[in-house]
Amino acid sequence: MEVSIYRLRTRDALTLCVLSLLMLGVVMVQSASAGAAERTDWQWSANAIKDAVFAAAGIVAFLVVGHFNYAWLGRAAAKVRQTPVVWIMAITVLANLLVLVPHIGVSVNGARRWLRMGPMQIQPSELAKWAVVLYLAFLLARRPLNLDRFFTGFLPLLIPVAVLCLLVVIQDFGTAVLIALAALAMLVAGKVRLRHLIIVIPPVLAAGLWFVMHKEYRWKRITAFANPYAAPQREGYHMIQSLLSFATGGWTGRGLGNGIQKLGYLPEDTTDFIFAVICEELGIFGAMLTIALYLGVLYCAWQTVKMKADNFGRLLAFGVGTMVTLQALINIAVATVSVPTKGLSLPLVSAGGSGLIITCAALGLLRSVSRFKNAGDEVVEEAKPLRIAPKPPARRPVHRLTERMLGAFTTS
Amino acid sequence: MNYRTRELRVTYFSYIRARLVVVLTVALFIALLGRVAYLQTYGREATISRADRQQHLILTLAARRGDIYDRNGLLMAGSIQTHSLFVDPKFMQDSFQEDGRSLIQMDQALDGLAALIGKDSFELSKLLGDRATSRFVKVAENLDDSTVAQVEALNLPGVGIGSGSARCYPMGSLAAHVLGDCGSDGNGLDGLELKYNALLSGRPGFARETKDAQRRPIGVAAEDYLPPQHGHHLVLTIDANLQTIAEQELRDAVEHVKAKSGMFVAMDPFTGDILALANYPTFNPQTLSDSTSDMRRNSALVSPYEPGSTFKPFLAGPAMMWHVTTQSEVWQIPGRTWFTPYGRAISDVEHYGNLCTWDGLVHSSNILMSQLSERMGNARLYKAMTGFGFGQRTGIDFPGESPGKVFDLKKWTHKSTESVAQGYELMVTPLQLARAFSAYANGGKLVTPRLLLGTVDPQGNILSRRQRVDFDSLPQAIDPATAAEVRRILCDVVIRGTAEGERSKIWNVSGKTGTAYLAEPHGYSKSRYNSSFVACAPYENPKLVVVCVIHDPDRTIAHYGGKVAAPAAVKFFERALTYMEVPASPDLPLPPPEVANVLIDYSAKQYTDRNFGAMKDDDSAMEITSSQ
Repeated sequence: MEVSIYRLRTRDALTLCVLSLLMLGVVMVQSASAGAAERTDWQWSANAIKDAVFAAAGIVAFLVVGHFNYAWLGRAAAKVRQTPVVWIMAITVLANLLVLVPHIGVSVNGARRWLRMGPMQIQPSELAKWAVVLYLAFLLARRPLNLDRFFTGFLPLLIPVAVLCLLVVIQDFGTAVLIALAALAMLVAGKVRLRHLIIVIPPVLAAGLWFVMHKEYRWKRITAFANPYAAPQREGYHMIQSLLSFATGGWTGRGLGNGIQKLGYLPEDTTDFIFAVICEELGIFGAMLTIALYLGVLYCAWQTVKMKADNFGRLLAFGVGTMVTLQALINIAVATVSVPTKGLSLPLVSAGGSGLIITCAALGLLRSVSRFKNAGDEVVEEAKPLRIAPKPPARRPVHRLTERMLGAFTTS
Repeated sequence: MNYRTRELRVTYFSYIRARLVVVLTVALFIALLGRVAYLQTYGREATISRADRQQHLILTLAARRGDIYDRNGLLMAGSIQTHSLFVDPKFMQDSFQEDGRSLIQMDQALDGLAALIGKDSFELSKLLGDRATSRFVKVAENLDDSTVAQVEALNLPGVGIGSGSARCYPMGSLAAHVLGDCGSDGNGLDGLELKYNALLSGRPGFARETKDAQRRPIGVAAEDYLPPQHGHHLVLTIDANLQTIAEQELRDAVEHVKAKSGMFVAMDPFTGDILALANYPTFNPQTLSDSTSDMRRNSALVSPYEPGSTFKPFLAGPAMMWHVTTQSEVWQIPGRTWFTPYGRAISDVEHYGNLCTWDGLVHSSNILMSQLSERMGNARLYKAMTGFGFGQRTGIDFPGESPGKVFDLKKWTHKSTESVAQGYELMVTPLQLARAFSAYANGGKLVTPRLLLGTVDPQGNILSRRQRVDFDSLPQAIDPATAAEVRRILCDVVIRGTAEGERSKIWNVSGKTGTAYLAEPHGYSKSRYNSSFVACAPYENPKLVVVCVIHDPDRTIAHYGGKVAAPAAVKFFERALTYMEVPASPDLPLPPPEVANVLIDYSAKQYTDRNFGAMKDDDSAMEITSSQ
């Protein structure tokens, strides 16, 4: 490849986007956690310092992971116990099981979501997000079973994902939804049969609905979404305060640091609702900037996908990009009261902990793919002992029709 | 590209489907951006008021009520800072619950608060319980600094101290009827406090304060702050010293004869400035609850009465001006009682024989005045009355001034001529009487009485000052020559007339007494009177016009105007003119020879010897009165 100083490489663009989002996060967390009533002079808030440290760690994780070849993760060794993805999946399932055990899982605000790991606390559900991405990328690229078969191929390989989703949904419904959506996106892109998906989706939806309805507080959140003003001090409070943030800022915004809603009115102002703070202070410009940076991440992921790396790399890049942007999408939808409230943070921007570093590391994988894109051949060669489906399935007319319908969007 | 590579590069990745996902994601992002823009613009209208309510607190910045000063700059009414106590019951409850304390503990804490502010603890709990969701309940007012410090020491959540102001009257009840009073909201209820309320109260300002969720203030934007405009100060025409003298003399006179009430007006005859205006009984505007509304009424301005004989000069003067009679004309007085052509009996107190007009006024002869009125005719009587401003408001700057009552000429009956001649069948206020008498004092001009001398803005700049009265443009009630004649005639009242013995040794007082029967539901009372005296002094260059009315004196002590009201007025003159540093009067000029010839018991010594008939010892004067 011709290297030119005038050309912004994809991985550099990605680095810029990640860095910008992290910095935006630090600035906004500082702004949101500054209390104007106590002190009016400049001071770093404890939250912002913590976030800055995590952001720095995140950048390091991003660069370090990006430095190594992702191919190792996609390795399909002859023995199952030598396959990293299997181990990652196993550890994640175990962690998600452990967190549900009282006295081991740490409960915050009534939800048992945390595992103490020395000085740090980690959310196993965060691990689950990326484990699913890795697992599906591995699965769809390596195809240890014939995925064209529903009962002997598709369904058994999906069982680990389903188990993980079930474990996560107990802790955090929002993350489970996110995992399910990202998994759906990867399955769609990974050339599974659409009718298999059509068979699977309704039961999953039904299960999700049952899950929402059988716990009263979840159902109340849904009804509060229909009319937040019915219970303005309870279920509707988050939504109303978020709406008021947009109203207070107007389209010009009140200026960085001048937000009022963050002064105790808007709950979770450094985490789940930081987008409302951004919009209140920076106006429509802040919203555009934030969304543009996520679209930048998505663009980098798409460019990486188009680099024609190996199957695993492509699916990994697509999965990571989808996961990050979908999470941002859901978070912004919640902040703008477009969907019912879920506890999802704005990736890279919200004041984070271990989740921020994990996200950065995952984006590091994306960087790695864009960097070692040609490493695929070697890896595939190593994978030869596994039964790889040698030929793509024959195309059917219905697929061609779909392709033609979508041709308008495509150039390749 | 060799075969193996090509074969291995089988793609398990659908670009078309992936592109679909990406396009969908981008579309959703753009839709959300649209949602943000909507919420920030059109969607804002529905929520902005709620945000505004939540984030801001509008503080009213009270304007300081203006002070009221007397004409010498002495403070008569001012405002002082006070503290009020308010409670945010919701915040209090929430705080107690957050701390894990029970409502019983909250009630116990409230007991301490109730004890400090002198309230029943049960009532306080009930008040706060009834308004548990409210954010502001005013609990106590007018707390002093030490109580405030004790309340603050309790350190109860949701309890705040607000500052307010209370009206205070450093001179106590002095001039209470003029000043009026203020309600607890600081607005004037009565008197000048009401009349000039808008000027005194100023305009309150406001500050729209941004606050955080703990209701702590963050700041105030420049455009959200409007400073209060403090009220203007009033400077009155009242002279606190003269007012004190007037109130003392009035009180003494009323109490001496055990009368029900009394009124006293002193004004400058040339400018119309009310220098003193007193009513008795009086009240303290600071402790309104101690007084009844009757006590608070400024009767001198709002309660008209039948003047009786004090009204006679206002008929005799015009009669002389219109040459209906002269001061030396002698009238036939047949006896104590005289019958009108239609048979009505008119009585005098005493029969002096035939009297000239001069003596008729000095001795207040009803028979003479009735004959004179008949000669004048009703039309001229009516013209004389209205010419002096009776039946019309004087135009003083005081709320609720009464115009008195002068019946329309068409409503007069055949008896009206004699009734009016004696000062009945019409109602006047003491103020109207003072204004009319000022015409005799100042050469015939009808001045407009006034209470406000000027206003001063909060910074101390004089904003307005009543213009000097353009004396020549005032309506002429009577011509200057006649005015001087009548004034001279009335000097004899305190020397040899109805108020004989009440003369001042220093100043010549020119006045007219009156003793009017009180009207009762069925005709006039036989034993209850209004005793009054209207006068000016000194005769040569009048500085003061005084009206003193004593309502319903005990007739076993005294009841004639000359014995009840005149002494009070003359004592007032002596003290007031001394205070005003008015030089002593020269001797009175003797009556013209043609008058002197027809006066009864005339002796020039009366005018040259000031001890002749001078104020006697009070007790002996009263003895003479009661023996008459």
